[in-house]
Amino acid sequence: MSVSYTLKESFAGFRRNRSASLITVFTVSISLLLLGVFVIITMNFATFVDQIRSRVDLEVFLSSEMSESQQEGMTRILSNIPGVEEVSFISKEDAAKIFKQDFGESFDDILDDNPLPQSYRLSIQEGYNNADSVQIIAARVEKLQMVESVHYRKQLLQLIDRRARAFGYAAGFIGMILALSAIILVANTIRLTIYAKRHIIRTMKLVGATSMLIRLPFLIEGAFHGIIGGVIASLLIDIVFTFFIQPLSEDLLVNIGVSFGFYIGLIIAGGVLGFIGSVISIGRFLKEALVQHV
Amino acid sequence: MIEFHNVRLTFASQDIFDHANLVISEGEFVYVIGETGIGKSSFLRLLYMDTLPTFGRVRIGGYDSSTITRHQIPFLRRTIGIVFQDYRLLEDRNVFENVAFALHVTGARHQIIASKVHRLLAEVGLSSKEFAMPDDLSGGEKQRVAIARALVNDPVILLADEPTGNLDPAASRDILAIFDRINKRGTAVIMATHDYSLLAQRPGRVIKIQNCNFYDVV
Repeated sequence: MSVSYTLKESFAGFRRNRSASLITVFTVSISLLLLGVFVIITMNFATFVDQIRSRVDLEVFLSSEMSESQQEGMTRILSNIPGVEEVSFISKEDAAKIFKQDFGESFDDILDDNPLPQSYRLSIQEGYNNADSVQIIAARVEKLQMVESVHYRKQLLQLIDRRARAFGYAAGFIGMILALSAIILVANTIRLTIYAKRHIIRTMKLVGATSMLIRLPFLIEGAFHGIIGGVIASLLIDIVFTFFIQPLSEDLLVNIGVSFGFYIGLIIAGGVLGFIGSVISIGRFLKEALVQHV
Repeated sequence: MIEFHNVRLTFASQDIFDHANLVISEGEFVYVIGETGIGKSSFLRLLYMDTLPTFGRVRIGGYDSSTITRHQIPFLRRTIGIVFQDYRLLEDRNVFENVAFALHVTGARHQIIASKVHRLLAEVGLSSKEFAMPDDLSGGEKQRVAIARALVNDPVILLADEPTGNLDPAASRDILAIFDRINKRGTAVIMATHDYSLLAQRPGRVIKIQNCNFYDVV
């Protein structure tokens, strides 16, 4: 079996059956467009959740005032706790400034002394910013000497965890249904185009073609259709994002984006989809019984 | 070269062949006759193993129906040239590509394919039609393309199922003249027909299918 002949036949299929090829490409494009938009929404939701998580800090209030060397020691201890990304010390004066910024009033007007304690603000590393991990970090910090209390938005993190988990399950389920639908839709479209060629396939068998020689051009043609469908879906998504979604994302101050790798993935997915669709469809026509009806 | 041993072929509880025996030697020109629906096409299909005997065995060349595997069947078919009554051309490709296909399946090289196809098209008188699509050809021309495709692999046996059934007398004469030439070069020709006038005009062994068996007509 000649490789050049197989390749030539694969691409000749496009020329010989233009309308069927266009229908297949269109079907792949639409399937990938739906799948692609869903993946983008899912990915951006995950990014959005991560952005919220990254804003959750731990506030560590100290029971008594620390000397400079004690502050350095405490900073070192806190930095060495697994999951802690950054440690910043907030002096009584800094705390007073923050209070004034937040509430618009100063202690000097009411009290003689600044009652706010020294504190630390800990930012959390990615991967640790979920309710369970933050709780473990908070528990370790609370055990340290001179630590009065640890505060963080525990309920918000728990809520994010619950919602993200539910969204993950739903996204996985819907994604699977969409992927399955895409395979079935593309396979059926390809099956129809191959069904139209069933007499040709039978003749090929009768003149001595092996199943592989018949099958291979169909598979390559299917993958080729899928790749073109993937390119079209990528272009459509890119146009929609460039002209409609990105301006909106700037207005909403939310980072919604599509990476170049995503488009490459979509094109590869198109090729795989076309290939799998062809494998499913051509198999049926080649598996016909050896003993035919008389 | 071709042997039928106690062949039984049953379809829908009806016997097409029953304990049928037959031997055909190399280079013979054989007409297979019989009433419509008696099993002439089934006989040919047993030869290219498009159907297998219910019982008994068919041997053709080095292949045996009782031992042949699905993967060996394409290789058997490459040693046989088959001309179908309905031509069975590949409608999506031109005359040259139709004939060349039978060579492509063997993995032949491009130059060999081109020279053999041109030679065969010249032999069947279709050199000027190599780029024509099957839809643009007459019945006789389609049959000649089918013959060229059947002969392009230099088969030892040529099977023809009612090759003149859809043709006018002039086209039929042309087709039979081609068969004669091929036979003289040593290829066995087995032709199913119900056109008994041919038998009077041309010499050859005549086998009649009757009562689910083969009978030599003298």
